[in-house]
Amino acid sequence: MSLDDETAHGHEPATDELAPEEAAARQELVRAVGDCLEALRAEMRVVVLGRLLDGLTLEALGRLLRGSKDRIWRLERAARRSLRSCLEQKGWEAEDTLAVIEGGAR
Amino acid sequence: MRTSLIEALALWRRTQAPGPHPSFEELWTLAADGVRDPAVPVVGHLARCARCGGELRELAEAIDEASGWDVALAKAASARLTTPVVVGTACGRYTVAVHPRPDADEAVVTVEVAPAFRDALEGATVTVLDRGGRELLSARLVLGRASGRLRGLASLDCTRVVVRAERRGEHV
Repeated sequence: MSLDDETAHGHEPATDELAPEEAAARQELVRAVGDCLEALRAEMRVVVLGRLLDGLTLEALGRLLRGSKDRIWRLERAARRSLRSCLEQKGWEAEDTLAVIEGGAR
Repeated sequence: MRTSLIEALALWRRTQAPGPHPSFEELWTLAADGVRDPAVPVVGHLARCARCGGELRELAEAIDEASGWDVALAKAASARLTTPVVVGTACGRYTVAVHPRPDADEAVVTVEVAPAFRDALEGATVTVLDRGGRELLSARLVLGRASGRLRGLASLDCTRVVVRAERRGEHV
């Protein structure tokens, strides 16, 4: 697989063409998000990412994880709550998170 | 609704190197049958890989659209059609072939039903759609086969083919 392929599929450095402090803030956020995701159960991880980033339906995730729509909904809700709480514990308030992503330093 | 959590997750995913992608068949199995253990590596890959997450969504949507229909999915050639493409559908019921004619913007499309399903499907009208929903063939199954001519190959997208059979307004 070429580097171009990998980039086209979403793998890209988080810090290209950013001021050093912005790059550092992004790296810190990425690390925090990664740590918080790691703390989730595998099924919660795939549910929250599938729902929020891939647009998978409750039905689709229910088929994937062999669970009911209700169970997937509860997993999503729990995962979102855990992620927000985990990020907050690491010092990332929602506003901070947004500011870093939009290009400002923390 | 977009939230900072979504943006943070998207940022994280853009930094991931998800590794080798699962095959179409693996994704299809995931979308249709799921997994017993969510801790298997392929599920971890899905979490990290935007491309596979998108493909899973497309397959899941196709399965949802197919709900209540006798539909099968198959992966076919992604390149512009210049050589014959023969694919078996995921459930093994149909074999779809597209034979482009040399020096002409047309092809012959055939569907062959697996022997085990021939009696049940004989006489039904089989329809083949490409990924974009374009109808490639609609013809009656006779002796387990149907065929037709297709023009305008440039706009064809055979990366996924959907087959359905119906008889007198009822899905078979």
